Amino acid sequence: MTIWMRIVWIAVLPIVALLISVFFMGLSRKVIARVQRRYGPPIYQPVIDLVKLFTQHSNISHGMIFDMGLIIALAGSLVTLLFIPVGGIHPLSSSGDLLVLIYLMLISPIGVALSAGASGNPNASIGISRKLTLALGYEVPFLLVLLTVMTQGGTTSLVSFVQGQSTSILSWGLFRFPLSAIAMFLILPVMLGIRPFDIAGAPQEIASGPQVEFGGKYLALASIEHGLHLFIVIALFVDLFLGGAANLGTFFLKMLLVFLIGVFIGAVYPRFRIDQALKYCWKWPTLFALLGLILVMIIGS
Amino acid sequence: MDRADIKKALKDPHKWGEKYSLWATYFCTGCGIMEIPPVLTARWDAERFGVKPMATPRQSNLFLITGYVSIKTLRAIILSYEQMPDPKYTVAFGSCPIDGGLYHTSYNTVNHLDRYLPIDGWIAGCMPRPEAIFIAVTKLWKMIDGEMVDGYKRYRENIDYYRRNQERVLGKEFIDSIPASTMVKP
Amino acid sequence: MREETLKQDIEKRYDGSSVSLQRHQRIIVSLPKDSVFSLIAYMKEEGFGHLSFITCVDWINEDEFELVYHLASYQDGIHAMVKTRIDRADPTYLSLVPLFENAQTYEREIHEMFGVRFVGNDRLIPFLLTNWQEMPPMRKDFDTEAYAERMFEHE
Repeated sequence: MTIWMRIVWIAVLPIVALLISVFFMGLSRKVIARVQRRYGPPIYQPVIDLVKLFTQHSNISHGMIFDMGLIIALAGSLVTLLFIPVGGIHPLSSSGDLLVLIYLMLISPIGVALSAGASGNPNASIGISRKLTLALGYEVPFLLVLLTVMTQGGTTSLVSFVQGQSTSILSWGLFRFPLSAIAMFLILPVMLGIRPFDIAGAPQEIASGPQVEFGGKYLALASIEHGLHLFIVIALFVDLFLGGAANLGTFFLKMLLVFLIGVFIGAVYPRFRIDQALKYCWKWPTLFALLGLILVMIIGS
Repeated sequence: MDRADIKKALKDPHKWGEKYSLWATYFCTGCGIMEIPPVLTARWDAERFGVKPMATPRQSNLFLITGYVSIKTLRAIILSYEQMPDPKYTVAFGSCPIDGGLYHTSYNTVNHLDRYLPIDGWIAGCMPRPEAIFIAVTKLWKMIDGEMVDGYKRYRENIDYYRRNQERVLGKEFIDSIPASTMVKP
Repeated sequence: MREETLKQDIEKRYDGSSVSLQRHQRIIVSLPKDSVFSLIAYMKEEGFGHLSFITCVDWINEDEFELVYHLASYQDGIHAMVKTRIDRADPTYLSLVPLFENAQTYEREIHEMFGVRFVGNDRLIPFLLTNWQEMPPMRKDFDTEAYAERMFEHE
């Protein structure tokens, strides 16, 4: 695409992602409420929440790092977004996508960690240590899955990988390497931070962890960052295993399907402890991912 | 409930956000806190009104005083109230914050809470039922529309009066130790 | 029965004591204050290993405080109350902390609420009351209504 089209899409894609993630957040609250046999808020409730949070007067700041950490996290999420093909739109992708993604996806936890550390609240430190431990947990099977994908496809470019899946439904990643798909699906709740893995921001245990000192505009930015992270992970899953999509509508429907399955799981489970979550991540998902990698290497050679 | 009234929302989005997204600090003050879990769970669902319980005062804008306030609790309530961002609303449940209620002659509970903290609304009862709590929430919406809730502004303007009363009950040492940065000008 | 043997043993060893069997598995021991420490040590050897609570009662007309020690025995399932009277004008007593360490908190509360000093308890610091400058509030001559009127009815 021409340079002007790229610039337009770079400006428009974050807005599209923001709208979709706000819709997903509202939908998750409504679905969880209906599963729990009550009515629940309307689907546009996150819009009301964000309007309220942006118009509140924040009455305290803990210094410059507190402000900048959150902005770094948000910037990291926005940049990561531009590397994932959404429908047919991929403004910034080139030949080393998957490797760039692995590094960029770590910026947002580190940004939130900076903010939480600068706030000086012990609850925030506990929450951040849990969040980074959880990241350590899901990075192992996640990297193995990405290695499998790169070996099988012979490429590190996400766009050519998506195009390789477009021949028929049987060329989807789901059917080409099913073991890796199962491993990635098992760690999807861990990466999204939904129950039973919402250990990092547990309101009842550690007073919402890293977000304990956020109020007003900070909380609004943190919610937006959480929504964008949701969007990135689900979009990556759809691109790798469900064939991507040629246009935005089909892509959105596939994302909705994956998200709804995640929400249904999250609505009924209680929370794990951090050691149980680590044991979970390093047992079956890692095993499946490793087996998938070995299978792909045997078949490939 | 005119939550879906787009024209009204666009005319004053600030008020629209304040009304339909009241996040309550989950601070369990007295014996009346037993009425809050039924309000929040599936039978009398408070989330459809936009009311969510939040874990810290920094994230919330509604403070519920449920029941009697003992001197030790008053210390924590003052510190939590001052950490909440503006604009914030306080609702007092039960007859104990109004005039002492059941504990009127007790040596350890305050009798008139609005001399120590600005209160925007009272709900009578010992304890009020969840239906009464929801009527109070809808009444709070009407008051926000009519600009009748300015408890936080009153607190800022009459801070000397409130501090004098607080010092009478809590002692000079504690009042001097409250961090001044929480009372930052808006 | 276990309660009968306990009653006979205690009444034989400690003169001035009187044991009443209130009902099955409930005994009440009353004795003068000088023998309480050794009685509780003896009962601890007899299987009463749990000090449940220490209460204080204000007998203002007789000018005495009554201390009640609640002991429980897990093996026999017996709850024993050991009652003793101390002087109200200058209430001082021996602390039970060398026998049961959890007596420290119960004696701290009695010190704050009644004003009884326990010799041997080094943690008699303020506990429940905040910014308190009056007499101990659980005594019967403390007028709580007048205090509430004075302290909380103001402008």
